[in-house]
Amino acid sequence: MKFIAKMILGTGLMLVAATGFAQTKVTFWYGLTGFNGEVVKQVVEKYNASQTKYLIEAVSQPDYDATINKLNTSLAGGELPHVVQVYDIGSQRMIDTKKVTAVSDLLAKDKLDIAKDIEPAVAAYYTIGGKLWSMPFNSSAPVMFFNKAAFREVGLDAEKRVWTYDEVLAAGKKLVKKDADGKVTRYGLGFTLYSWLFEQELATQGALFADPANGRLTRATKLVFNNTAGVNWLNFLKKNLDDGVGRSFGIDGGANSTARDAAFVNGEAVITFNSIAGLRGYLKNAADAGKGVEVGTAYIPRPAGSKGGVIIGGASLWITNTGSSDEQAGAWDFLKFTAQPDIQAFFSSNTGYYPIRKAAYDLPEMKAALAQYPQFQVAIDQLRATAASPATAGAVFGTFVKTRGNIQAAMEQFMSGKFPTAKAALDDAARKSSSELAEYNALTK
Amino acid sequence: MKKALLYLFLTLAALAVLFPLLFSLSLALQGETVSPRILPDFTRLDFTVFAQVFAKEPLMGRWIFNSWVVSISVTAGVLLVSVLAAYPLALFRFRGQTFVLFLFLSTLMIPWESTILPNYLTIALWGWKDSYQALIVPFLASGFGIFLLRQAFKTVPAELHEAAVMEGCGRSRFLWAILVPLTKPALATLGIWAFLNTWNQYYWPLLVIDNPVWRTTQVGITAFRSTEIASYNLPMAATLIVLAPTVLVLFAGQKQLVEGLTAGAVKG
Repeated sequence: MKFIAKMILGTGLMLVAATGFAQTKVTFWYGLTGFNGEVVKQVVEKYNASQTKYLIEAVSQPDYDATINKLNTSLAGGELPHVVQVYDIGSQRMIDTKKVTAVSDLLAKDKLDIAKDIEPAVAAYYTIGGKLWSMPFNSSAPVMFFNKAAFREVGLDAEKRVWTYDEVLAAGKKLVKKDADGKVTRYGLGFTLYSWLFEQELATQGALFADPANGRLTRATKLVFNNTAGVNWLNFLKKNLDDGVGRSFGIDGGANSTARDAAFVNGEAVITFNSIAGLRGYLKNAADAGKGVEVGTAYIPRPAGSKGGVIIGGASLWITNTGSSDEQAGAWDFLKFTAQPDIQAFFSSNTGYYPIRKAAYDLPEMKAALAQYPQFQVAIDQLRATAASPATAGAVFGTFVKTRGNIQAAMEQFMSGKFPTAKAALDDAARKSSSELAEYNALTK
Repeated sequence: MKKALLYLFLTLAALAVLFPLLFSLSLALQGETVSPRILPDFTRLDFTVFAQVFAKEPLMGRWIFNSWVVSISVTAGVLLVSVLAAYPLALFRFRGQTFVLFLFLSTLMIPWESTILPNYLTIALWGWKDSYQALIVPFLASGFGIFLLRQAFKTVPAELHEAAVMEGCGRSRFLWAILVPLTKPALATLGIWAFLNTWNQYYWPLLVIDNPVWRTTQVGITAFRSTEIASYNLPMAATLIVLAPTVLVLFAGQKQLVEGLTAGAVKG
């Protein structure tokens, strides 16, 4: 009797607890670090303050790679976060986990029509096999950064936006400076060997990276980046080296990227290529360095007559189909919140990523940011000028990380002369990458 | 003159050894910049960077504490387990001895990567995620440690054992009063190896810890990297803060360590 009384009392207390301060906890992993990671935290705080039903517990991860690797291992144990930020090239791997709910299904259930207001290039990137899989979050694309002051000094047009490879080479020749001993003190172009840019240059030339159709309609089975477009880009970089107007800082990442950035903000390399999200860092560091570098932006260069555009990079938010229905509802509610125009305007104006909603541009916060950073407008125009096609949507396949490694190794070997031609270097990388992809596809079917 | 040269040489050698530390300090104090120099501008040193580290990640102190708890526990555990397992293997004869030895040794052939998943599943099943035991227990037994100590114990002359037994010394007394003190160098080596291995672990703590409170420093300090344009002041300051206690302990314990390493060099 006593026992039953206790039971009833206990259940009653639990019910009170459940209805009284029931806030459903939703876990969210994110891999954006440093200053931009702080802005992610602020978005989460805004959401938590905006309502009382759900509580987002945001857990920072060391980086994007660690996030998806940890997630993949956790799959076996069954404990997944409800929302996870995954980088652009992780999309196919996320779909292949079979533990995600597609955002377009959730939108259809809510009869929400925000998909039309999502920036078309952004929506195209995260639409695979006709479905918008994840909610785009931080999006960026590369631009050509240059020092306006140096351009004016040698009589180049500092407002020109579209440059061909030949024009960049000719500009580089004018920009190069040597001291009395013939040592170069200022390079026309400073670059890293960066697969992301290589992929962008393929898109600019309207060439495919993977077959069939970049994996957009059906699963990609073969890498085809060893085409004319890829060869053109490698030859362009090599020509810059051979003519003594360009400097390679080696494979992108870590200290090499920092060395490239340092050369740019100190005026030792006039032109470089990077994500538009790096704009604020460049502006701040150029001002701190005090070498008179005036940061300008232009479209990424291309061979004459190219008609393609740029591919979106960055990361998006994925919903896993694990957890209670309350938790899943909370995860979806949070995603909708992050995609609101006002939140996107806040995120974009504080970080330098594109807002994913067109409506965000009408808000005063975004207008103020654009007035402050006119260089950002160039990046928006470049994105809007991109014609939609499988090439500019970008490739999706499961082994992107390895393929990037192969491409960067091939670029390095070609630059150092280990391969006689760019074609031979890319053929080698494509063969390796295709066989890795075949292995992945066989394992995930 | 000769002495002056010697000291000049020693100073240079010391600088070379300390370079990574000094360079980290130099990078930490130069403020947020992508183009740091080897030596900072001494008129504008930014000492607030250390406070910034704690302001950005208030859990920093907790992470350092976690790393110490885990590293010390694993080191103590490995030493204890290895001593007790190596003792019978080295000094006694029993049925299946070779089999047991090879069983331990064969664990050395299994790459750590292939054990991650089963270990992770066990930890998750026991509900040990986000706890000290998740970081400690999987590393308590080490095939390498057992083998190392077995070899060390074997170098102790058999006559010593016989004489001790003759004098009525029991098995545990022989182990703790004679064998362990005689093989201090091997124990010190194993201890340092276990400590450093644990301290430097990255993937395992990343995997079994979801709640930042339980993170260790190696996972924790990645929070100071930036995704777009990298500047090194905060990461370097955080690294120095993590390093400081370790270096202090090393300086304080250096004498004992060296004594330990040479204790058995000349048979006493």
